[in-house]
Amino acid sequence: MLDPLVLVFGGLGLLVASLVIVAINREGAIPPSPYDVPEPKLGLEAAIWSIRHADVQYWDGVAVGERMRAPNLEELARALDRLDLGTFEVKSAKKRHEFTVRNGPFSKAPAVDEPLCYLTRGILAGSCGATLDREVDVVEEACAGTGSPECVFSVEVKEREEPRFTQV
Amino acid sequence: MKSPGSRKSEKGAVARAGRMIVGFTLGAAVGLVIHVVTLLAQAPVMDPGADWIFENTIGAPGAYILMILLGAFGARVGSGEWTVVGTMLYMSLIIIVVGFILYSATVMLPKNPSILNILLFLAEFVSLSFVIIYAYYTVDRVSRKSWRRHYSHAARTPRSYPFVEFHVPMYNEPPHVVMEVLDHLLRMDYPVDRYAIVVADDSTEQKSREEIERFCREHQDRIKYMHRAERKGYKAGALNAALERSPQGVELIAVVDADYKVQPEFLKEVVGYFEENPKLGFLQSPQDFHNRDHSPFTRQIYWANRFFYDAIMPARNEANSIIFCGTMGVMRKKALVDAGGWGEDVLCEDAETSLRMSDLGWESLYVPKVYGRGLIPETYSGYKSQQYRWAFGGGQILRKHGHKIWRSKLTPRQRFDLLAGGLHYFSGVIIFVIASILLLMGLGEIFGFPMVNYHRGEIALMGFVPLFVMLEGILRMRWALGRAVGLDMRQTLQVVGVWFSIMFFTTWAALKGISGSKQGFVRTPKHRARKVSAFEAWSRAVRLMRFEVTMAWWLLVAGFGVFVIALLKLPYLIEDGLISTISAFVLSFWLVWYAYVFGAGPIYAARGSRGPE
Repeated sequence: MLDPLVLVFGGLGLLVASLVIVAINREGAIPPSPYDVPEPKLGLEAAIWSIRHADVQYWDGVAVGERMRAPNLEELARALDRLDLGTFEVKSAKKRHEFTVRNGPFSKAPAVDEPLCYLTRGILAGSCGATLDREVDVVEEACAGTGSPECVFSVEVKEREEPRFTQV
Repeated sequence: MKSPGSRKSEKGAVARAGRMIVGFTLGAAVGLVIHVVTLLAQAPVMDPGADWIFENTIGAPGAYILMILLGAFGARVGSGEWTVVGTMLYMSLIIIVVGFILYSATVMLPKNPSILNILLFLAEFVSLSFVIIYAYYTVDRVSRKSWRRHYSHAARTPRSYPFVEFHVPMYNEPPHVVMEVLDHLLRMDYPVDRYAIVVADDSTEQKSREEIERFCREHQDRIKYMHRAERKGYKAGALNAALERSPQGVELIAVVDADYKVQPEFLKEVVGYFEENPKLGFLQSPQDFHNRDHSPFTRQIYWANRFFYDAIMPARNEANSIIFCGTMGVMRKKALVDAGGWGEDVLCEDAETSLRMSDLGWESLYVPKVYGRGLIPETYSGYKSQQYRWAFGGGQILRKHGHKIWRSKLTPRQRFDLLAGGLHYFSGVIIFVIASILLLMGLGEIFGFPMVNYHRGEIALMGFVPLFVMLEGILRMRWALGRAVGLDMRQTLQVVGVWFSIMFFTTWAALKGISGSKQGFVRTPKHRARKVSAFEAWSRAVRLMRFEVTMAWWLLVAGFGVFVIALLKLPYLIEDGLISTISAFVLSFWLVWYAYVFGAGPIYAARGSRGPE
């Protein structure tokens, strides 16, 4: 009668053999499938497009952002999350705030030594201005375009200009 | 036009069957040759005679097992569906498991087996059978050469535009979330006179209800608002109420949860499938989440979710055996009415209804394109509540439809999937049984009962099963998730950890479901997770996972105790016996390992309670 242990060790041998074949010829053993979702990678063209259309993106973003008034910047970050432009996180200081955006539209873009997220920058400028009720300067300090895995935007609140009185 | 559900031509099917028969014959022949060679090798030391020849040839069960296993291997290779390596992998699992169960029976079940031995044997038998069942899906996913029922992501422009009604059930959802969802539905790229939206609101919160109703009134030409005073049948009841009021001309019903923002091309790209295949009853697209990167925890449960949509669903779709997942799917109204509407007596009304539709012969289709994104639970308690509902519903479905595994119009593969889909929630029972027996052995050893000496064989065997199950599981997860989402080994281990963490809780829920216990529908909480301190996260986790914490604690204590005993035995190695000391070390290792399996609960609950990075 066949010893069950012969089956166990025979099976283990077959398992090891198949794993070795997988290691040697991965593509042949595990063929590509239409269900594989390749990691989306943006080409250089996308980066060039974004830089070329920086102005339009920025001002369209400002127009969208101005309608996004929130009670505070934390709430604003949550509202911005829902735009599907990445995940927003805010760190607030007195006059300077910092938004970190992960998985934004250009997060898979190639490094081209320039930031690329002009639309997001515009939306942040518009929405932070509306939320804080002050003029703000938004600068994209880190971006996939500059080789960073996440985008960092600094939001600087401008001083309110006091009305000037002239003595008569 | 060729129907999307159609199989290869008749000619191809006959050729495939021929190849499978040839493969089976060749495999069985190789099995016979191996058996005869083994026999000849034994012949010189055996006593020849008529009985001996009979017992070792036609009367030898081992020969049949070997011939059937290798025959099945040959048939699978002959079918040409999987790569040879994929077939080798799966067959090696079957051979190991069959051999191990036979061997285990000889060790664990002597002439007068104790209850402990029987329990252990059963636990091993069931857990190894689970390996065979669930490995099928992953091996199918990674080694299938051709996908007969896969459809490209390209848009399928319909020839006509059937009338579609969106049914959006809700219960006390935040109004701003609902209004955003409705706003997206209003902007579908589909003729406006060919679709309508029905809001089936069961909310009890007056203020949010009024806000949603006001929004619907503003768009009353496109959105119908209905509210039920009595929340009978929960989500299924709301959907049934919407179905009853659905006008005559409605052909398709798209179900969308109240947190899903749907992309405009959704309808235009999917209605064509119904047009092409009149037997198509329902269609499902993957669920996705726009807050998946909220925290490491949301990312991990997102990956765990992707395993279902990227490994299980493609494999089930090949066999016309998918389930409806409650949102981002479309149903043919006629099929839904034929099946008797949504099942109000189970918590997973979606899967249960689709099962009834399959039983009536309606086909199903999985379209692997994300058409909308919702909200994933951001806290561990939210995740727990969602998993509870699914597991409880899974248990209810097995209770209600379990008999269909033996007698129904379902295909054999649909029956297999029904069984596999419900049974996986019960894996916690096996782990609990094995861990409890190990714990008893460990505590017995600590309190002076020489358990290790009596049960050396069982300890060694028990060591093999979890090790094998764990390594095998991790490996196939790694391949499937690596292919689908690009996960590396570390990320795969995190997904396995998430599963460990929720396993005992879902087992408990499924046991309640299958036992006929009653439970109201629990809406998955959608509130945002805020960052909390590590101490608060851990105290929340311990409160949430009391059972797991208790088990992990005792296993750890026993593991440490047995380890100390094994160390103390070292100076007396010769007197006490080498094997006994090694067994004690092995037992302590397994106790600590199971402490981790239970401890994964609070560890992940703490991570899930910490909030964003």
